Amino acid sequence: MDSADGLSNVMVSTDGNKLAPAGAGGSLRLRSGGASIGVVESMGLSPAVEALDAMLKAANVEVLRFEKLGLGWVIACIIGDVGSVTAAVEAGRAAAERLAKSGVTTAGVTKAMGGALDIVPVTSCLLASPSPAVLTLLRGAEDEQPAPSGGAIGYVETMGFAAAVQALDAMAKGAAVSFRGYSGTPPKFVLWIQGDVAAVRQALQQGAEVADRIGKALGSCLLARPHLETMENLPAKPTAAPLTSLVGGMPRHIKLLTAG
Amino acid sequence: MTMRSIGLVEANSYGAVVAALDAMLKAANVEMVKYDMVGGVWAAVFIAGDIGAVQAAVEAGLAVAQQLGQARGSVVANPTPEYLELYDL
Repeated sequence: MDSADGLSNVMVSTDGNKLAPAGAGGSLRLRSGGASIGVVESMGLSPAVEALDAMLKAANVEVLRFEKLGLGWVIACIIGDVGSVTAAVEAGRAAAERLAKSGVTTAGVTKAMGGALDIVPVTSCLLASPSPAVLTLLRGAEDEQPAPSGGAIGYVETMGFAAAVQALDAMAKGAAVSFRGYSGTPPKFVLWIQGDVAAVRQALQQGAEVADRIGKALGSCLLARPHLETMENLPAKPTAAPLTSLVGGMPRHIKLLTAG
Repeated sequence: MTMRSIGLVEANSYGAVVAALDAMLKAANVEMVKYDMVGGVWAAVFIAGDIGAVQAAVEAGLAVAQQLGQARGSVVANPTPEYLELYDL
């Protein structure tokens, strides 16, 4: 690929995960020139693949992240200007839903999981003006956020990655919190944030509200004064590595209790 | 340069995918280009060829795979370069 395409430094691993390249200074170098983000998430590979193709053909957008999150869930994230991304997400979602409804019933999945989960096979979200926290989640961008001023942490758990993305955006915009960590056992995802107690409480409320509109908010928790060891064992912030390296929320280091 | 069409069959079990692949390769003049584990038991196989061949093959593959488990297929007639690059096709 020649560099005029903007795709010359593409990180592609052979198992089909893809991440858009970083430009000089950490900002995205985009052909299309926009900064809105759309996400279509599906259970299974074919709906996501069809959705990605439909999105790329529907409008002038670029692939931001295409990844298998684990356990059969796949996301296709695109970036471009807001009109293009809106049109593309509509087209992508329609394509994914068409395929998701054919041949596979979610009843089989919900039974396997004990029948306790409302799994929606396709979810999508659209962020016209995403906050830096969302870019960190989707690209592992360099941390441009100010250091968190408070010591309280909290998490929101959502059913669906698109819901998690939208919730993170609402939380980062709605209160003075910073994005602290991500962990996922698809289709459930957990986002940790940090800030003042009041800010975190407000953010968790807003995040849960927003997540309910897109997927489902499964719960949230506020730790107003976490223990030091709790802080050390929170899941890590996403990097450019595939998000599946954070599946299950294994902390970066594992603390072992040794004798003596 | 002729554009290759890409077809994909995804199924709920590895065995169903292999059986589908066999049916697809026998049904039309296509070649297998990629095999993918999606996770959570799902697996997928990509084939490439002319649009007519790919469509016929995916139909045949789905017919076999649906007997063995849940399956779905997708055919992209004229994939964009980004789509191809995504899977090193």
